[in-house]
Amino acid sequence: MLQALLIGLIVFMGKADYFIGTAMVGRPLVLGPLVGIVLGDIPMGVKIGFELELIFMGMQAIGASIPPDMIMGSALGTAFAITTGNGVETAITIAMPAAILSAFVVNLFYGVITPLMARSADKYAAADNDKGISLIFLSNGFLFDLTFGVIAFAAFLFGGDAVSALVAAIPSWLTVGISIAAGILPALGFAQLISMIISKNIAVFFFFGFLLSAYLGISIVGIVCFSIVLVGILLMAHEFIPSAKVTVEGGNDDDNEF
Amino acid sequence: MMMTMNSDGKRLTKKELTSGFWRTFSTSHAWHFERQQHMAFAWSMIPVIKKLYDKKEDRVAAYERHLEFYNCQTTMQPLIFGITAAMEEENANNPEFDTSSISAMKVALMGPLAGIGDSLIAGTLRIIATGIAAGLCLSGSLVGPLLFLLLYNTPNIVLRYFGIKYGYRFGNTLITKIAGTDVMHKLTTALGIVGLMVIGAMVATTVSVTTPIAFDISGTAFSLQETLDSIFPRLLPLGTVGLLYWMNRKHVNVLLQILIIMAAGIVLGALGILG
Repeated sequence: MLQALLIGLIVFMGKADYFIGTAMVGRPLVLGPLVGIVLGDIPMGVKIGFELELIFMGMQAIGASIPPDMIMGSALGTAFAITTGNGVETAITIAMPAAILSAFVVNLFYGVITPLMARSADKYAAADNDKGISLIFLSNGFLFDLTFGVIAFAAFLFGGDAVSALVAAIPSWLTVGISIAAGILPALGFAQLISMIISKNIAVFFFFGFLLSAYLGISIVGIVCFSIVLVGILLMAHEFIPSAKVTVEGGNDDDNEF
Repeated sequence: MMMTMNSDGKRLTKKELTSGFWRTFSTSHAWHFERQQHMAFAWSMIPVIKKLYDKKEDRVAAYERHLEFYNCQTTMQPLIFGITAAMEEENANNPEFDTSSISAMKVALMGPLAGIGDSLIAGTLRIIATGIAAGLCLSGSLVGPLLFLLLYNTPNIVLRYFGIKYGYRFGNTLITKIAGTDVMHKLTTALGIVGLMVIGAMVATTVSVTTPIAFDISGTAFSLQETLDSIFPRLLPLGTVGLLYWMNRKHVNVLLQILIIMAAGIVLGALGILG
């Protein structure tokens, strides 16, 4: 019961991340360890949280697209993986359906409940009632957070037996398949991130980072340092080789400079 | 420039700006499809509006103005807040001021700044922080997530602080000046280079796709995976990312992509092609 309450609190806090500056406490990377602390298996929580982070890596609400609810998914996935004593395959088996179902509730708020409450904020604005505007903004935001906290609490409290039975019933070929999929799923997150920031003229740097790591085994910190130096070199090339500027930026820019 | 600097000129103080600094942390709370971050914006403006306007109709107009559609990346929010506060202050003191320029500025800046915020924060800073914390997380250490939060939030909060400070001080002029040059373009390109190199390295280290295919060629054992590794290490993860990138480009639904990956894992695993 206490554990279920704390799991609910973790989900509430993950959702309230939007109130505290999107500080990333709603990432699987952070929620997994918190669930691990509550259920008494910190290393497992950290590891599963990170595996789920890789899968949800590219899933960040950009504009108006609503991805699967990674907060609900990763909290419940990590929780049930730890209570059933299974690893990351179980976490993914639980996290995905939970995240997809929860996204429907997210959409219910974004599409119906919150826009309706916003009408009241308009009325308070017309009446010069700033406290009313604050009330609507704060109550709607925290009602949203609380709703998911309660759902997670109930799911953990009442879903345990069902999940145990489900996990016991999974045949080994399915477990093997899911563990293979678990290795592939991070690729989806990276593909989404690449789609978000790539443009033709910088695509080559993705391969450069990949090759430095694959062939030379340079760590991520090393890659960051190399990439910063590389940006410096590229900027210097502009200073020293005038012809490079023409080919890179075209003629118009030169006319302004000289 | 009409600046009425009469004795009863309304000026914002540190109090309203500090309040705005804290209130803009809540930018994405109570988000919705119709007007997105509008309530958070209005909430952050309440102390400014109450300080600047004595007449009820001025306050009502300002509240309604800031309940219009709004959406930006949250770390960039204090910058727009600072500029908005400076323009509201000008409006309170200058009867010639056209309030529609405030809404116009918000609409003009929220798109480009959201683009920069997304590539700077979501595309680069978050990934670098995750990448650096990866080793510690994989070993199950609690230091991993703590390091991630520290690496992410230090720049996040510093950017917020300078955003509100310079946004208010320079008002609308500074940003429109920068947006007109290629400084913005250079900045996003540089961040794109760092971000893509880190993503490339993380594809090589964290995506796991291997094949158990092996057979005997006239008595010599042949393992496809070992052969691949000796010629082009991590080729299969790279190819998988390439395939999924192509699907994203074709706008294949994310849920469908997840289902395809699950099915591929089960089928190709059962056939002994992946494992």
